[in-house]
Amino acid sequence: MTHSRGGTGHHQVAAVAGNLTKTYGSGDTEVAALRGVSVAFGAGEFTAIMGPSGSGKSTLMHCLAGLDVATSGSVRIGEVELTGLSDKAMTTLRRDRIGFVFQAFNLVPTLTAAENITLPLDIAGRDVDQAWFDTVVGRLGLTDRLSHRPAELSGGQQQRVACARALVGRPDIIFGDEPTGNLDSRSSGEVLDILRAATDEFGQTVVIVTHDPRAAAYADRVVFLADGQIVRELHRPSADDVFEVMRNLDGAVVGGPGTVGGTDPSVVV
Amino acid sequence: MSRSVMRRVSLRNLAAHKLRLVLTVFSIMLGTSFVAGSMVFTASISNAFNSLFDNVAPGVSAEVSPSADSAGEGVEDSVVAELRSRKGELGIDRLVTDYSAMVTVAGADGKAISTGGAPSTGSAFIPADEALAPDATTVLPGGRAPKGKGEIAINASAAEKNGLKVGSETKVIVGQGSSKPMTVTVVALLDQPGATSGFVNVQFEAAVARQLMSDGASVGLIDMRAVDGVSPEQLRDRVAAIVDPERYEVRTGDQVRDDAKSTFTDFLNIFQAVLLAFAAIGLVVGTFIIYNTFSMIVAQRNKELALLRAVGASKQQVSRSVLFEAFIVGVVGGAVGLVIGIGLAALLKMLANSGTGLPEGPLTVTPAAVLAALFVGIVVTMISAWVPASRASRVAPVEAMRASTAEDGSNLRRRTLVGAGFGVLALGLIIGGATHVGVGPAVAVGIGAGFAILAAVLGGPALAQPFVGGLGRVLGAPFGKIGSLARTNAVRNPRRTSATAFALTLGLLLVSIIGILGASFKGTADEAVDTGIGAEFIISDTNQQALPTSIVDAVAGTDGVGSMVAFGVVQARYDGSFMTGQAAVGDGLGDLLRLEMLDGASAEVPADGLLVTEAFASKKNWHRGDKLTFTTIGGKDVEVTVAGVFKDTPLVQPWIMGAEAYRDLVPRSLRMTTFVLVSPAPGVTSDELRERLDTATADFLTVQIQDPEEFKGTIAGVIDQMLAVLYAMLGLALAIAILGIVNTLALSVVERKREIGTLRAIGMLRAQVRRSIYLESVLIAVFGAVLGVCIGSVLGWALTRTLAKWGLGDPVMPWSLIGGTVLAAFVVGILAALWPAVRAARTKPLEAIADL
Repeated sequence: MTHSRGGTGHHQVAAVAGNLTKTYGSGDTEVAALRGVSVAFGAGEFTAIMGPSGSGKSTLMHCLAGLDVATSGSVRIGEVELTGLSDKAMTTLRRDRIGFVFQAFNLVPTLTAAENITLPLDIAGRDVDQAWFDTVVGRLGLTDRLSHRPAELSGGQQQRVACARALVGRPDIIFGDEPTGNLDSRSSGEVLDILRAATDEFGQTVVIVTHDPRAAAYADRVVFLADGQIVRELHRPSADDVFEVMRNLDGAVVGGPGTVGGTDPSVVV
Repeated sequence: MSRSVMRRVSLRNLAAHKLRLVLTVFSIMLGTSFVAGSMVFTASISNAFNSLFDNVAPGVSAEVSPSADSAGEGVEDSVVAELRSRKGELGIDRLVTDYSAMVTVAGADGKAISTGGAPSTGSAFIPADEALAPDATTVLPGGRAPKGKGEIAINASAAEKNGLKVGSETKVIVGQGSSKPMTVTVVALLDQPGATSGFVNVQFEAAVARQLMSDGASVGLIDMRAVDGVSPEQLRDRVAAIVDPERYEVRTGDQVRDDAKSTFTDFLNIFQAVLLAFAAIGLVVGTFIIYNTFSMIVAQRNKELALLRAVGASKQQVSRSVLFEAFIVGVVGGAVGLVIGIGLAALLKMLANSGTGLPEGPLTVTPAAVLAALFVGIVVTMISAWVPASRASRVAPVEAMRASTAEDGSNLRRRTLVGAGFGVLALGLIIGGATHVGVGPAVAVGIGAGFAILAAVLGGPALAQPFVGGLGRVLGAPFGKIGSLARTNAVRNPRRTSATAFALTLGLLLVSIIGILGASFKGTADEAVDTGIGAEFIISDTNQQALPTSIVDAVAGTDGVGSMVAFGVVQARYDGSFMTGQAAVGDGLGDLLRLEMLDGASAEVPADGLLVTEAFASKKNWHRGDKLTFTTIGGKDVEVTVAGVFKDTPLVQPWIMGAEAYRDLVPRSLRMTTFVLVSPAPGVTSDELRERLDTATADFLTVQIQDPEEFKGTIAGVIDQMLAVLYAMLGLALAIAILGIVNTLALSVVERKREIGTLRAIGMLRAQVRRSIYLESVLIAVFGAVLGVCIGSVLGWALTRTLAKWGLGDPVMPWSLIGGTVLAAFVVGILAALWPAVRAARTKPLEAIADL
């Protein structure tokens, strides 16, 4: 861990999930996506959530980010408990305290890059901190692309605009849902560099879901999910470490959690 | 790929997108229901009229009536006497005489019965044992034949509607002749077959009818029944050989009925034309909605169609599959439209029967209506689907699969250029027409209107971009980013925006034209009254019909009347043909009516002279001092001198004749008064005079006394009534526009699900999502409205100018109407967005991530 906002390191917690469960359907068709997940994300930390398809990693992120409501358990963003929040309060929380980077970029096609970047602030009616905007845009190399519409930008550029959109409001936490899933390896590297830098240079808390070991290797910490539960955790791993764990996970799913030999299943909380 | 597979794809597709299906069926239904509704309605009305007229002239073999040329004067008693004396020789079994006049009757509430346009007639009571068809009209139990002036029989349907019973006391005024208001007692209710709805028939004892409704030397008409062995045609021909063919017409009973039907067929044809015009508007606009809907649906399905192409379906197969879908949807929409159309017709009939005098009858669903609804539904839908489908099939499969959204802003250039061409053509015709006067220029403006509509359709998308953009900047400003999102969404697909707005464009275009014509008519009338009427009061009939002649005596006898002129109608032959003008009876025409006389002539009309408008004088080549010879119906010549020429005014046309000439030309029984101008005598205030006039005319049920301001209001009311169709059109346009916008927005919301999900994810509140949809909708609606109002205003202005020949003054812009319609467009926009906005706001943030 290098810099963190306020220098408090990851002693401070940006988001916490407590005994989170999520089931879809009912009766015979009931599927449990999350089976009691408890995890905390330290402020100023870059965390990657990994797991095989169907492990519940996306569901976990959706619940953490207030995009979906868990069946039971609690989620806190900063000091705010999400359980029982009204749609309006939840929306405002997403707007003011959470940034998003989606796999498909999800920029508004009718708006320019600059308009897309300031969209959450504009919706909130907040003033744009011009100096910060310039800093972010400069750092992301978008200065001469600001007047372009999404259709005129490459995938990598679009995802950088999406990153800028997430960063410019200085949210408590940025969630990335497979942020490199639609990008070639060079653009992927750029975007991950940006997220890494956001943590290192701006003290931004970042949580991404990914299935790419190389992407996970940019993170401070990698949390592994399988079958709706957290089964493993690595700190500052290399891509090979991650790949190794994933390979075991893929093979071990049949046997269920706990069969994976873990170095340090130090799940906070 | 076999045909059945493609068909299955089509069917599954329809089933899988229920909302889309509902919206499409809905749009087709809109167009077809108006077509079906108007056809069923007119068929029902025409059926009711036919059965009504089948009951006219019951038992009549032949009828003698005044010919059309003789302007309604009766059949002379000598004719009756001759036919009676030669009964055996001619083969007449039975002969009855009857009389007929317009009457006004008070209902139980003491107010004049409103027939809603159906006739209100007086005639003679013919006892069953004297009648040609003894069973046709029967006196209901409890009634008896009317005797003397104080008793009447009335048709049961009218009595029932207006609360009259046997024993009720009421008032009757016979419209022509010199009858005064009479208090009468109802002694019989008559069951007349076919006499439904508003129709009123009051019957007097024959001698009373003769006294009230004839000149004392003639009857209204003669009905005859032939003896066995003589056909109606034979009887007709024999009678026709005896009577003066110039003055009388002899027809068989069937001819009488057919003639009655055919006069109403003409009326019905006009009626149907108006209704079909509505249907056409509904259909044209409906076509746009259907086309728009299919464009959107095909665009949304581009990827899927491309997939079909990629796995080997041919272009034709893809097109055919879309067309097959369209066919199914067209059949369903046409059928639903038919059912709703029949419902609409039933509703219209209910309204018509309660508000107007149209006869009642069963709902008539003709095969033509059924076929038209289905044909229109299927054909319009398939054509609407074919264009986008063939466009879709032209896109290479790979390209279509890659393209993420259905943006369609390209290729506007050619369309816009063609539109601009039509626009220039339209403008040329309109301006060319507006600078001239007459029929030709009016037609030029009409053709220009057609081109202008084409130009609007083709150029709409190109106009939408700058207009909606500019308007969006203004309207959206208070809403910040929400406003700019709404604006950019509204111009995102200008074709779609303009097609959606077209319903409002067309509707408000028509409304503006008619509104300007109406306002100009009112303005012309107002100015004419302001400058032309010097009288303090105008006395006229509340139903714009003739006043009973006796009103003149009632007014003349009122204390405090200074000058007074009663206007009558003169019909006489001049130079071989009939001519209609006005007559002024009374003193003080020059003060009461401020005519602008030319060459210093007096504005008073001499008793044996006439004053003529400038236009008519020049048309007929009449000059001051000319002696004209008019001929009465009876053939008597009357010489009338042209005493002066006055500047054209819409108040009186084309000439005013003096009292003596009028009396000589028009028999007493045919004299009628259209209006009376009155001013108080010196020393009497207007209020005093009005009070006294009110008292003096209290018994006349339909007389109104108005000062010029009130009179202007009445004229405006009459014009408004004629323009009621305008409001109906406005209503229709607004209704269809709402539905069209709902359709487009609902489909746009589906199309933009992911985008809206993203906005929700990054923090847009539900209320903000709704607001952006409202704004988008308002922008589309206002664009359509403003485009329609602009084109319509130019057309209305031009048309009014070409009509100057018929006395129409300068064009008057109905600003309040225009402002009102644009405001209405605002409301329409918001109403139309209500449901789509709620749907949009319900979009879950997770839709941002969901696969499309």
